Amino acid sequence: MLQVSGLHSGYGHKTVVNDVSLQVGSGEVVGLVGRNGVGKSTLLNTIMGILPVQQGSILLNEVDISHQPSYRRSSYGVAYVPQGRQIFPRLSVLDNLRVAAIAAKQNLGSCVEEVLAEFPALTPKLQSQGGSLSGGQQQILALARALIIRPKLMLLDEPTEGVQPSIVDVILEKLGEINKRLGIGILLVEQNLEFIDVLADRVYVMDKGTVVAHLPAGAIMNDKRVQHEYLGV
Amino acid sequence: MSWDQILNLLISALFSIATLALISLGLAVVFGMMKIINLAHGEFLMLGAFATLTANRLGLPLWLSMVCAPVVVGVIGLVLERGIIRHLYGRIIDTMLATWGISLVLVQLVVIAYGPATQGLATPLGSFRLGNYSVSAYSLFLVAAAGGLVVLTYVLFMRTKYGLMARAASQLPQTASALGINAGRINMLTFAVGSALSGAAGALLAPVVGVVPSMGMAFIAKAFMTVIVGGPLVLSGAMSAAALLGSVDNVVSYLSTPFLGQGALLVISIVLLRLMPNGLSGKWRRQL
Repeated sequence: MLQVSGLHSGYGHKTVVNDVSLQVGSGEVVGLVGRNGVGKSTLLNTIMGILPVQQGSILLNEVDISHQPSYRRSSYGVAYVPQGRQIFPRLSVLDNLRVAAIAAKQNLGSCVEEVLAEFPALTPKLQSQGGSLSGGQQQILALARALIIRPKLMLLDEPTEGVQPSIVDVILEKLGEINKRLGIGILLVEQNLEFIDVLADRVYVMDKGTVVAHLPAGAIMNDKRVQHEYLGV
Repeated sequence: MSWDQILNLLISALFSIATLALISLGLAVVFGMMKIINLAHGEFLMLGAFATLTANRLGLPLWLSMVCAPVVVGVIGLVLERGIIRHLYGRIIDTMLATWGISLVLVQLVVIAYGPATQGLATPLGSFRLGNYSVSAYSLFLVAAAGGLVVLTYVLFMRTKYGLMARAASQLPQTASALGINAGRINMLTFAVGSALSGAAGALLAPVVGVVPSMGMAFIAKAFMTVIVGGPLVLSGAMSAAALLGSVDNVVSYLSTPFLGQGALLVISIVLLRLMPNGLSGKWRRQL
C-alpha cells in the first residue's frame, strides 16, 4: 500500500528525515514511535506533500507520488489527521465535513450521512464552530473528516494528545473498527505505548531522523531497553 | 431639526457608508482571504471607472457599461495574479512592492491612453425634492447597489462550494491542500473575485467622482483604514467599520466641514485600533 524508500526531507536545506524506509501493507496498522523532535511529523508531512522530498521515493499502490502536489495525494486514497487536529476553526462542524467531501469530489449528502452514522456524537454539534469544540471532540471530527474521502490508508499524528481519557477509549475503539470493518490501513504516530500495543501489528522506532528499530507491536511493551534508549521512558 | 433635514442627513450618511463599503469590499476579500496587501487596489477602482467610461463612449448605455467593468477588471486581476502575484505568496513585503509597481504602471498606461485630465460622466437618474432639499436619485441607487454587492459577496462565500473551499484554504492552507483543495486555483479565483468587486465599485462611483487616472490615490487610504478597523472577519468586520467610519465622517462633516470629517475618520480609526488592536471583529464568533 504505502512504500517509503530511502526518504530524505526537511525544511529548506536542513535535513530532518534521514534515509527512512518503511512499508504499510493494505489493511495493516503500523505504529511509529520515538521521542519528540526525531522527525515523525516531518515524515508524515512529507508523505502528504506538505514538505518536499529531498531524496528517495514514496509509492502508494505502486504509484510514485514523491513529486505530486499535496492536493493530488488524497486522490490516491491517503487521508491525513495531522498533529493538533487542524480543524478549520471558523467553519461549522458540518462545513468541516462538507469541505472534505467537496475537495474529494464525493457525493455530498450521502458521504456526510455515512460518516455521521459512524460518529453520532457529532450530530448535535453540526452547527457549532470547529474552534469551539473540545480537544476530544475535535479529534473525533478530524477522524470523521478523514473518513469522508473514503481512504485506503490513514496517517494519524498523535490522536490522543490533549484528549481526555474517556475519549481516548472512544478513539481507540473507533480506530479498531475503521481498520477491521472498513479495511483501512493506518500509520499511527503515538506516544501512548498501550494505545499502540492494542492497535498496531508492528512498530517502527525512529531516532534522530532515521528508523533504528522495527519490532512486532507486542515486543515494544516488554523491551525495556528500546523504551529506555529511544523513547526516554 | 426638521424632518427633511433629518432625512437628508440620513441619506447622506448612508451614501458615505455605501461609498466606504464599495471602495473597501474588494480589498477586504483579497486582504482577508489571501493576506495579500494589494497596493494597486485604488487602481483597480480606477480601471473600473475607466472601463465604464470607455464602454459608454463606445455607445453602450451607462448601465450596461457598468456591468462591463467588473468583467474587465476581474480579467485584469486574473492575469496579474497568474503573471506576478502568485509567485509572491507568503512574501508580504515583496507583494507590497510588486503591487505598488503595478499601480504605477496602471496609472501611467491610463494616462497614455486617456490623458491626465478628469473625464466627465453625467450622473444619471436626476434628483427629487425632499422638503427644502434636493436629493440625487443616483445616490440612493448607489446605496442599494452597495447593499446588493455585499449580499452577493456573502452568498458567494457562504453558499457556494468555491466559497467553502476558499474559507477553508484561507484558515488552514496546508490542511486544505491535504484534503485535496488546489489552493493555487482557489487563490486565483479569489483574487479575480476581489478585482471584479473593485471594478464594480469603480463603475458605480464613476458618475459621482471625477474619472481621472490618479483617482485611486483618493480611495486607497480610506479603503485600508476600513479593512484594518474591520479586523479579521472579511465581510461583517469591514462592513461594520464602513458603517461606523461613514457615520462619523458624515456627522462631523455636517456639524463642521468635510475637512474635519476626514480628520475625525482618521482619529477614530487610530483610537479604535489602540483600544481593539485586532479590529472591530477581533472577538466576534461569526464565520465571514
